[in-house]
Amino acid sequence: MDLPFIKEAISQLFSKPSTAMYPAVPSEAAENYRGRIVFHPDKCINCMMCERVCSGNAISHTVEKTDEGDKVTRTFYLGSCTFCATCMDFCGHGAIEFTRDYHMIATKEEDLMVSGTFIKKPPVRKAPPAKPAAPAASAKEPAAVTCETIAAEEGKAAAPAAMIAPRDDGKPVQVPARCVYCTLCAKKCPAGALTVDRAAKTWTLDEDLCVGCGTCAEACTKKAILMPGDEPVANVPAPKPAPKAAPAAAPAAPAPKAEEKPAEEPKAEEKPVEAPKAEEKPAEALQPRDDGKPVQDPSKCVYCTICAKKCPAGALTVDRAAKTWTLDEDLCVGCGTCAESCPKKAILI
Amino acid sequence: MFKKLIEESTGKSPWLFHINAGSCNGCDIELVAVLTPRYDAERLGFKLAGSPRQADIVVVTGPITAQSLPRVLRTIEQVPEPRCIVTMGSCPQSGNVFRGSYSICGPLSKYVHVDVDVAGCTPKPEAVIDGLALATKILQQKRREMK
Repeated sequence: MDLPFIKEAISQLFSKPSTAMYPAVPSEAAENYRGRIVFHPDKCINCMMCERVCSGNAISHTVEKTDEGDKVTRTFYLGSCTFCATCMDFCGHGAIEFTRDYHMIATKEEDLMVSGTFIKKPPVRKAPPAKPAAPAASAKEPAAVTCETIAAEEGKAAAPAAMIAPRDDGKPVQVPARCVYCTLCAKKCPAGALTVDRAAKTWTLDEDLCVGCGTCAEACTKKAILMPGDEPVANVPAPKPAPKAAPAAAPAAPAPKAEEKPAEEPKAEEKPVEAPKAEEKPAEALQPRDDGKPVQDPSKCVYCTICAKKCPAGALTVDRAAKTWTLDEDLCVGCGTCAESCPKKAILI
Repeated sequence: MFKKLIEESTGKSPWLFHINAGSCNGCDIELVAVLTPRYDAERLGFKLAGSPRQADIVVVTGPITAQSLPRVLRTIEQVPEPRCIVTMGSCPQSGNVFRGSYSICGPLSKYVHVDVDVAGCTPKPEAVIDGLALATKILQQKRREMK
């Protein structure tokens, strides 16, 4: 007689059951298990990003005005949480933590609330005197608050090119010469603290709303926003790597701008010398334009329309069927988002 | 004479009835995992009942859709008193990601008294066992109060 599984059957008969003896033997959740949320109110800067990204609307806050500042209480309702950890991923300051504690059993709703309270101090005003008194003084406001247009800066070329240093209070500073007013920072700001007017070329920061999260500086393709920890920079257009067609090692700034403000900075003096170098080797390759606007390379372009979708100014029109790539020169601000987003590197800027 | 024996025995074997009120099936699978040999809640006396009339504990999963609401309420009414209602997962407690949808009538606490909430999306089987153990205690408390 053949008994094929007799060995297995006998060994199973005397082995321990595979049942997890849970209440008797405590069980620990796996590594990286996302259980009960722990909120660190001391790290929170109230940027509201967690509330915006929460798919279950589980995060809420209340604000109470006190003498010391706004008393903010942020509450996580675990009964509405999907434990997806998106809030933790988006929190730039590590204020939200998921623990491995899975014992979330409640008889009342309050048992599933995780909350923390912190006081958000009002922003320190740098130049409080005579601000409301003289509207004419608005032109002389510190550069950090309202910035003049590039043209105006050039008009005042006699003034030394100011070094712009990041602020101490964690708020962003604009570098007007680098800024192209593409409004990307204003769109990304979670607190809605930035107002950028493309026509008037103004960049305004609402100090009360700004929480200093740094999203604007990260979003800026021109590196025109400085956050604490950044190096102070001169108020001149950012140095650019040389175009691929002309592999000159030294960074070359757009030639016309450098010529317009001669001797504003020692850096600017070098530029006119180097810039023609870049133009000396045209070969047959496409040349980037001098005015900072994008140029399409038709041999590389696949007309995927990503550039048109990414353009914050809506200056690009791409027709996939007709294989056309059209730039509206009036709308284009030269921010370079199209060139960055192009998967085929078919745009030169 | 047998009353005391019956009272103790019923406390040791509460029967479950499971209602799926539009759940995504995640919680349903975990509840089945609790009852099957891996976590084997039957060794603690929990047994899945075939009819709501035989049940002591009602486990509700899902965000209570408009279609399921009258059926959920009718089923819960058929469970004899004393009964204990356990919500499993975030959905019956708040609606979770489905909150605000035109077809969601939750949370369940708007319609019936909910005794135990087991939070998680989905809860770990250990958490479900803990929740059911707490429900059993509440059930015994209710039995004593009824007398």
